Amino acid sequence: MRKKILEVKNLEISFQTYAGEVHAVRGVNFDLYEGETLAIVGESGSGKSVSTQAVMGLLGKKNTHIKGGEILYQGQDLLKLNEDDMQKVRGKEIATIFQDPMTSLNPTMTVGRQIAESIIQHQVVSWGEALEQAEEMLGMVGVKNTKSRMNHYPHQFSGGMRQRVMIAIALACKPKILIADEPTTALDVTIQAQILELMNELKTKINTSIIFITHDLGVVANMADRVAVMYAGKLVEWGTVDELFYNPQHPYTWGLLASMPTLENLEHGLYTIPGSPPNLLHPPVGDAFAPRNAYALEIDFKKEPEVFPVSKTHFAATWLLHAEAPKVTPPAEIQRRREMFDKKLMRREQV
Amino acid sequence: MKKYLVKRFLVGMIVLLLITFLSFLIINFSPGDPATLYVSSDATEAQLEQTRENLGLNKPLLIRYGHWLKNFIQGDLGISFATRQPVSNMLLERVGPTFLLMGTSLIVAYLIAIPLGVYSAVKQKSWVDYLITGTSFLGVSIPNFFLGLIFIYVFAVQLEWFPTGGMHDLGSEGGFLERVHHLILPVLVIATTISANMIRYVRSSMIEIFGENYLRTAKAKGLKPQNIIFRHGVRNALIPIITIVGTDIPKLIGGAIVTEQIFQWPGLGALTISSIQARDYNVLMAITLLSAIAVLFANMLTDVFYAAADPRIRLNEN
Ligand SMILES: Nc1ncnc2c1ncn2[C@@H]1O[C@H](COP(=O)(O)OP(=O)(O)OP(=O)(O)O)[C@@H](O)[C@H]1O
Ligand SMILES: [Mg+2]
Repeated sequence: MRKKILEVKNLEISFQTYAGEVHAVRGVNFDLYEGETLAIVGESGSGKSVSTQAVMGLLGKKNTHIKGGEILYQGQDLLKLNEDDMQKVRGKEIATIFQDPMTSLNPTMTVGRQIAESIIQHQVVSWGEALEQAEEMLGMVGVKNTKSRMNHYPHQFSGGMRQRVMIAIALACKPKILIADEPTTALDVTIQAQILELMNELKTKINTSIIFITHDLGVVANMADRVAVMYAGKLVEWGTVDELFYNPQHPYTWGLLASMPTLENLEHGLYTIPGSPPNLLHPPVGDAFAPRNAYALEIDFKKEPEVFPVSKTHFAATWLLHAEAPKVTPPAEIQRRREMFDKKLMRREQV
Repeated sequence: MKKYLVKRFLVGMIVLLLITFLSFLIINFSPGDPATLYVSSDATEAQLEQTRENLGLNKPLLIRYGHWLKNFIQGDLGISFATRQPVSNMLLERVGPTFLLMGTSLIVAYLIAIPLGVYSAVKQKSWVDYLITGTSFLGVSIPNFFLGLIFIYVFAVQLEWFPTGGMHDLGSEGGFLERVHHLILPVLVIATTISANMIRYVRSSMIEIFGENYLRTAKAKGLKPQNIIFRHGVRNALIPIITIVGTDIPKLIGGAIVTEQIFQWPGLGALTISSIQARDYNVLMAITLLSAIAVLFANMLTDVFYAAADPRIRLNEN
């Protein structure tokens, strides 16, 4: 088994607002292995950004309350580090790129300096050397004419190019973990593909693990080794890409897959999950997804589901997996996927 | 940028022309007949008429304006009614002290306002922040003249730390230190008002920048807090502030007139007041013109600085 580089255990985060306490992250557990890409998917507001920004120590101090849990990076609990030590982790050990490349770069500083700045912060090099490394980085992310581009300002770059610059900044110190929070949501489709390809390429070159946050399941298959599905501040199901795509267990995952625009889906009309996510000011008892769930059992409204193992790598938090639960027939789309999954397994066994 | 500046300059000239015309009207229509001030109280109507003719006041308004404009273009600002000296000489004598007072005030104001505004924003909602914003609110609400009188009373009369007025001690030529000593109180008065206002702009601009995504990027890079605040925060926060400096100039001129009067500072402000009292039309015209030029020039300079500070503007104009 590969080494775990990051373990998030029972992470609980809430925000103090005028309306009351928003329970944004309610006990999240996940591991990240060396060299893998873990995708976290889920609807808007499910807590993807909050839980990963907590890993970076990027949440504001003012109204944020990390109520519990551990974030172990190479065995060290990041939540226990003081600000000075955390600063040495940020950008050097763990780096991040954000959703909006148009506003994530400083408009009054040249791109070269913005890359070199993080190099000089974490390495013992001269400013000249930092600039040299920065230029190399710029080339690595596919920017042409690096010499003149170094002295350009962000507004002289297109959206896709700016995201490349963001990647150069994030990877400048060869971090062990890259958190990509919806890195392509703001970009058009062709650019999106290029950026994802670049991330995959650099991942092996620099040997980083990636946490890839998205609500587009379509790109997950090409990017990730494993997928975690998040709903209302909790992970409801996680497993390898194959397991999640072809043998999903949680009705929320079913809903996500059925609403994914694939050729078959489009034929039958695209599905949308009814209703809207719960208000995290007053998180529901039981399974938070129950009110929107056509397959909900009575117990779903009363008791929070345990996490049931499906395989060594695949887990889901739904009462449907309980031994005494009634057998339900998932939607046609999911059945079709399961058949493909079975065939795949059989093929693998034959080999 | 060059093209833009040329355009700005031409527009500025037209504005200036309009200003001279309007101020000519206002000055001449304001109540009071200058002629009565330059004859004895028992003068006859004929003597008054003679005086008006001497002062060049007996012709129709438009003709007088045309006359003034023609002279002005030739570089002649006329003769003062009160002192019978060329106006330009009088201005030259007074420009220095005013420039010294306003320039120092402006610099002191920003030296106070920028650090306090930034600090206040960084320590948002702390008691220091409340203290700074509270004090600056007070500073904005107190009128210049009142503050001047308080300062004179407390620091000059009671504590005797500073002289009550003037630019140097009576009968002295005034060494450097002596001038500085005289400069401190009036500068503090003007700087207080300007910086009180500016602190609030700097603070809110800075707080806005704190919400920007690129500050989050800077933090995610692992930069030190002071680097985040100064390299990424302050620089961007000050760009919109530059435009406000332009609007400070008229306030500065207004403040200088009052403050100079209170502190008997021998500058243009004091000259303005005495010229108003003496209905000294030509001097008033010249001072108005000078203020207008100063304001227009300051605004143009502001634009240039703004463009220089913000690469998005700087490069698009080429
Ligand atoms: N500073 C904050 N104060 C109060 N509530 C917050 C704050 N930041 C996030 N939240 C709330 O926490 C919840 C989770 O937000 P988060 O940004 O993690 O969602 P997300 O899964 O990343 O969604 P998206 O796909 O839209 O980015 C949301 O309900 C959000 O409103
Ligand atoms: Mg998000």
